[in-house]
Amino acid sequence: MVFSSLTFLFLFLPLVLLFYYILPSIRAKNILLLIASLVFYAWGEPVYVFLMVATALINWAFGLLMERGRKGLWCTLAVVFDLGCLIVFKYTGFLVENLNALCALSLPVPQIALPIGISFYTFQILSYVVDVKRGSVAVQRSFARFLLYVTLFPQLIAGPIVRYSDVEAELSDRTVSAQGVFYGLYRFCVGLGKKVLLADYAGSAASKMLDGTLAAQTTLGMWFGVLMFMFEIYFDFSGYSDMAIGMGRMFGFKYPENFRLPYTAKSITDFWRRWHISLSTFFRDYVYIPLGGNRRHVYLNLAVVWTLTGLWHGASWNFVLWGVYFLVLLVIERLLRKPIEHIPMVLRHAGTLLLILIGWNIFYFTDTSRLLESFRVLFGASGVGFTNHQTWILMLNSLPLAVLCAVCCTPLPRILGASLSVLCATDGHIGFRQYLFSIGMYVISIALLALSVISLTGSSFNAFLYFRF
Amino acid sequence: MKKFHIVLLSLTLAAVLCVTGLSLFGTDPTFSASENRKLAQRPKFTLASLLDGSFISAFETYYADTFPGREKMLELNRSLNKFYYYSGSSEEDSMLVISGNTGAENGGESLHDVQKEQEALSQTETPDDTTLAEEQTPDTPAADEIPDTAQTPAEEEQPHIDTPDESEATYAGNVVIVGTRAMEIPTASDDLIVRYAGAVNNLSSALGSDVRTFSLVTPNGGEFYSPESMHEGLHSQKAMIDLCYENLQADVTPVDAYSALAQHVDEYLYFRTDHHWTQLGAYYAYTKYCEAAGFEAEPLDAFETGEYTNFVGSMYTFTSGYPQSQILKDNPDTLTYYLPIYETHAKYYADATLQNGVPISVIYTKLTDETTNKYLCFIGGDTPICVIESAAEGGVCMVLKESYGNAFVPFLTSHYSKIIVVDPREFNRDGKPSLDLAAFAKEQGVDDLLVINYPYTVNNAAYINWLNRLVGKDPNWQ
Repeated sequence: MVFSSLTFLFLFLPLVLLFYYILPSIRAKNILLLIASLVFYAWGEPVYVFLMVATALINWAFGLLMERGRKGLWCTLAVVFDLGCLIVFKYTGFLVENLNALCALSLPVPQIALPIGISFYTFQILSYVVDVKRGSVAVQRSFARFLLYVTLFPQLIAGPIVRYSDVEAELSDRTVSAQGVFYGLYRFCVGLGKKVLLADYAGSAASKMLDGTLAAQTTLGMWFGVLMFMFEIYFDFSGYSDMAIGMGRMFGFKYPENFRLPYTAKSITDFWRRWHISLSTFFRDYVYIPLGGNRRHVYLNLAVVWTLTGLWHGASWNFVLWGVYFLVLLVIERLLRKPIEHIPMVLRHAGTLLLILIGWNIFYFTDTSRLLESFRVLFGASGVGFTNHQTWILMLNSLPLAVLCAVCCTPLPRILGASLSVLCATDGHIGFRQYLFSIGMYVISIALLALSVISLTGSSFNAFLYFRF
Repeated sequence: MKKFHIVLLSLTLAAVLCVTGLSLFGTDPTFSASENRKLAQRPKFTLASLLDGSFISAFETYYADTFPGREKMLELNRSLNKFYYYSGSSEEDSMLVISGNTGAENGGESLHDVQKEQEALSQTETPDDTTLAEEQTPDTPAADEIPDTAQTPAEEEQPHIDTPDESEATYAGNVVIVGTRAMEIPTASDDLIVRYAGAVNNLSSALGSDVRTFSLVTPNGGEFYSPESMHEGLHSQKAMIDLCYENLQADVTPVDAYSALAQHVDEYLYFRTDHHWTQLGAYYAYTKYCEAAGFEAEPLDAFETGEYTNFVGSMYTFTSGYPQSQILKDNPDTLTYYLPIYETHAKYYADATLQNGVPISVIYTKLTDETTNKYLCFIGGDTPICVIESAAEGGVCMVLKESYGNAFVPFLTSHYSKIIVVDPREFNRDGKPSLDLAAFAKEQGVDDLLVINYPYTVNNAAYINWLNRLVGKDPNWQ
């Protein structure tokens, strides 16, 4: 089930919330959440839900074994098992294809459907087993509680990657406050709006520019298409994170932030501190530092981390290339730290955005020949010229959206919110102005929700012509 | 403050739960007038459909289709789309590009099916059984001879919406609205065009040297009325037609409809709200066909004409979710038809056995407002096989076509005594009858074969396969 669907918004979520608030004890609430999460996952993956439960069970058992000693061995086995699952279900086809190409073989390429969210829940489980081995968290004896950690539906399919240590305490004891739920609702609606009102439309605009015959595309159209994709991926991903964080708050969980206005970064290094934070810190803490971090063979460590980061995003060479692209940029930034500091800030921001945008172009085209063609069009070596009438109409059609997206990438909305809260601040006692602030938040939430529902209903619009294939 | 939050939150949850209740227990609408389609119904639950995921996706579709207040929300969404599909401040200069295409080349629509559906929808409102045959008696008394034709074999077994079975269906272009005109903009796939020409060659070879084969590829309105960059380069339909004709073998005669249409661009050759050509456009193509086939074309003023006003066609329906489509609705087309000069009798059939024919008119002159798609007045839309007998002297002509051929075929009644119109989309596919065109043509004594298409079908891999299958030349189909 996806968050931005009518079934989720009007069947699943309200019913779960209703029962969650009715149930008295934390135990009952946990059981409800567990059942709800399994239903949520099974809705999209009626078969792979068993894989997920089995994976959780095995890792839970490894945790118990670690408690009895030989932590290193059990931890290694658990990691091998988890990564094995991930490789089998995500990378088998890719590996076989490359093996075939490399050794001139013609092994049949197995068609294994990717279990939704496997990249996220595998990493969550890994954080648990590694932290147990390190002794930074205690072993979870209750399987139900461990399974709840793995499957908790707000963050199950699209992150953030919540570490076991983040929620260890909250799994057994947490409080739901009215204010927390109120904030959760606001955050959820903001995320929903980002996804439905920005990302989906930006995506359809990008697809018009990037999915056709690239040789018939113009240079300007190509740049605009990639820009729309840049908006799409940010609002889509951060929208999901917002919804996860918001729903977490509704159930009493406090998830870490996953995005901090990444397109305001002043360097690539800065960008990766702001983009998908739970993933980059995961690689930092569980791969980069154990390999030696900044102390030993730092460039090798960086190379490993960035190749893996690329691969994590998908089983295709363009993702590897995308990771390596950032590796190169980060190494350059490291080596040229001093000269870069002399560049005016405006240019640094602009340059960073340009490099990120080119990165998204690599990310978009999983087909190598289309990727190469796209670069030729971007730099004027192919396509039908700089611009034409169709490009112009397409850009005009998407102009208000592009402006809105650009504004929402800046700190402006946040500044407006902060100003409002300052204006409404009082010296301690609860007064009219605080009510006003709450009402403001509430109106924004409901407006975003309503617009999203209208748009979601609109996307089911399907004029019948002759589709009798 | 806490109480205030709790009140707001409770109210919100209660409101959402009311919608939940309505969505689950309210009565479901079955038809959407604004989209001209049946809405999804609640799927039947089976374990197998749950495990393969089809139950859930069917349920999601059903839930969205029958969501409380959906029609109202679609209307609101149209307003929202004014923001997302902006086209400047002036209404007259409305512009929109939508990716993909209408899919119109993939399957046909017949007057019979349309009227049958309308009937089903308004069962209680129409006490008398106004089937097509009775509503307007065709030019023939044949309706009496075959009394129970309303239950046509074509409709008994065919599911209404098949799942796509042609993995080769390709991305073919865009749909644009510029001003008051909507157009499909095809994109050339040169290898497909060459394969299309090859398929026509295969047809010609299979039918033998006794049958003259003609290939007519007509441009659509996008070639003449879109901004220049939308019909040049990969979008140039002239180039597509030239490429196709260059690859025809010597015994296939190309028909240069393009130049005739190009000479008359200031006339009403194409609809603005529909993806088809007008019958006037088809007439100019017909004059070129006559040149190629050695006939003398009837002069335009020899035809008795009539018209349907307020025709708002497929391009409006396709774009009706977007604010730019309003201008199409406000500026409807007029459809002018040219009646056959000779007396004609026509029937349509479900397959080549030619059993249980249903009488049709070559041109319907009395379509009611309920039939919004007025283009169906030409030979009753797309039917698998339609046989027209004309009082004119002449041989037998077989026409392979999609809907572009429908407006063209009536002109042939001046030159042939019998015209057999075949829709290649209706044969040799899963769930459809098989047809061996060579044998059928021989049996019918066909003299001329005309393959008439527009650029979308010429660039469509599935359509090319269906042409090849007619003469057993698709290696993936037996």
